[in-house]
Amino acid sequence: MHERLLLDGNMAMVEAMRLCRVGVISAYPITPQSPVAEKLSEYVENGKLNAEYIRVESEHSALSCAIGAQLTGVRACTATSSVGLALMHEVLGVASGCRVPVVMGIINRALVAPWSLWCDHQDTMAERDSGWIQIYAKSVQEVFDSMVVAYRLAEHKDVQSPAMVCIDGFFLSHTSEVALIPSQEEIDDFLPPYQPCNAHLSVDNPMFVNNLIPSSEFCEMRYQQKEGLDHVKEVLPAIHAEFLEKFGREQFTVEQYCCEGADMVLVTIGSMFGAAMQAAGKLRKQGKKVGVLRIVLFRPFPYEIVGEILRDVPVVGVLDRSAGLGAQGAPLFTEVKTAAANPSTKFVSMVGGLGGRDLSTATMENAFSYLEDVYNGKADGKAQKWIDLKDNYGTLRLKNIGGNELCIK
Amino acid sequence: MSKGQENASKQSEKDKNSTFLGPVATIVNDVDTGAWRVDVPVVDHASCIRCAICKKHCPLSIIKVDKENPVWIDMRFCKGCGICAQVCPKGCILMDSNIKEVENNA
Ligand code: SF4
Ligand code: SF4
Repeated sequence: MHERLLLDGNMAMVEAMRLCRVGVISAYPITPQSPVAEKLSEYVENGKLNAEYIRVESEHSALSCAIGAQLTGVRACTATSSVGLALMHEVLGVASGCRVPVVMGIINRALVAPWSLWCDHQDTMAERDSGWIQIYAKSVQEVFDSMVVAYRLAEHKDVQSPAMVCIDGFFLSHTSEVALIPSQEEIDDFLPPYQPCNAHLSVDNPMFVNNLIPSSEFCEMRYQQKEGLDHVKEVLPAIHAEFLEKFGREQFTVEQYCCEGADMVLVTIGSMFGAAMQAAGKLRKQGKKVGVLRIVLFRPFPYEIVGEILRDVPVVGVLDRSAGLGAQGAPLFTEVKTAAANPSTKFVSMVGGLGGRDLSTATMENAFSYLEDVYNGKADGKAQKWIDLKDNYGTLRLKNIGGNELCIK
Repeated sequence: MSKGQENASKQSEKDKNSTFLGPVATIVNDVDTGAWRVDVPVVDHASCIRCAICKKHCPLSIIKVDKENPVWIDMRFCKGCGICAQVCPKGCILMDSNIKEVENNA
């Protein structure tokens, strides 16, 4: 029997980790992830969670400890945000390359500079090719569900790759919603105890993990990783189907709203989907054929499914919550455009919601109205469109304030 | 990449059926570091006080020192770095560059 609980995204993540019986936690607090680290330590202290809590001195150590712990045969867990994830960069590759299926919660937060505590996706987008699975949640319920699914997926014998469940900082991590939390028995029934099926640390069967690999084998080991991620497309639908059967909630690889027969589709990721649907619903009532697509699984990118859905859509806007500086389009855009390469489709790269700016229904309506201009030939849509950029961006800090003009002479 | 490096760590044959993915070695072979040696440490056993300072500093941990026996160096692995000669308080290890063949009385 499930419980109906009022939880924010962070607490939903903690409940998932607890019910998935993590055995070792090594976390270093960082806003907006801190409540995860705090609640887990509270659960260990009061006995609600039978786990070892390692107080580490950095995120680099947090993930290193988690990998070492998981190699001994337990589910190890950690969570981080922004610069914490950046500090883990080196170790992310160790987890994926050594095929250690750690599941990590990421509370998305912008990367410096400018210094920010608030949401955008640059932290996880910067790690998109690290060999980790990436799932982006839209709601508190989905944070919980995605975590449970992520353990099954990452640990699957054909996948054996670590997974990040990415949740929008504050928008999801600190916003409370009612979530249905299954009982321990139900979760145990869905997720059996962790069985390491790859390299592991055992005194009875010693092995040396992550040794120096010469060029005669390096490429083959990378290919093994590629194959592991390729298997996700066969493995995930079965896990989703079982989840639906056991818990009654549908899980998505991509989620569609009115995409069929649409003239314009806005591709979204994460919690912005809600506002985009709201705006699209309103426009649909006005007779405009708009749709919204949400990418849930970003790595491995479900290019076949995305290509199929967008094949006959004349205008596709892709709204990235990270800038993709110097690229032709931001990260989600380049993926979608490659997946749906149809010469007659017009693709528009859009950027918005950076550094915690709210992607409101009004912003989404603006995005759609720009797509409509492209559809009607009023705009060519070739340049990247920053949908919520203020006109005064070039004059934010005037040099002659506070007598500073002296310094620049 | 040297052959020695490749041979140093390999997947064991018996694991062929249950293959491990990624970089993992189940057999760790010795690398013949003695082959790199140019200078050979020669111990003057008469002045050695068996303090074992050389043993502590040898980067390969291949020096044996005990009360009963003279200092012994495993020449299969001694790479001739000369650290033992530097740290010996009695100065009784000399690095000799003229010795070509050494007998390993292991
Ligand atoms: S350091 Fe010198 S004196 Fe001490 S045990 Fe080694 S050889 Fe002998
Ligand atoms: S020369 Fe170097 S490797 Fe050889 S015994 Fe001395 S310290 Fe050890």
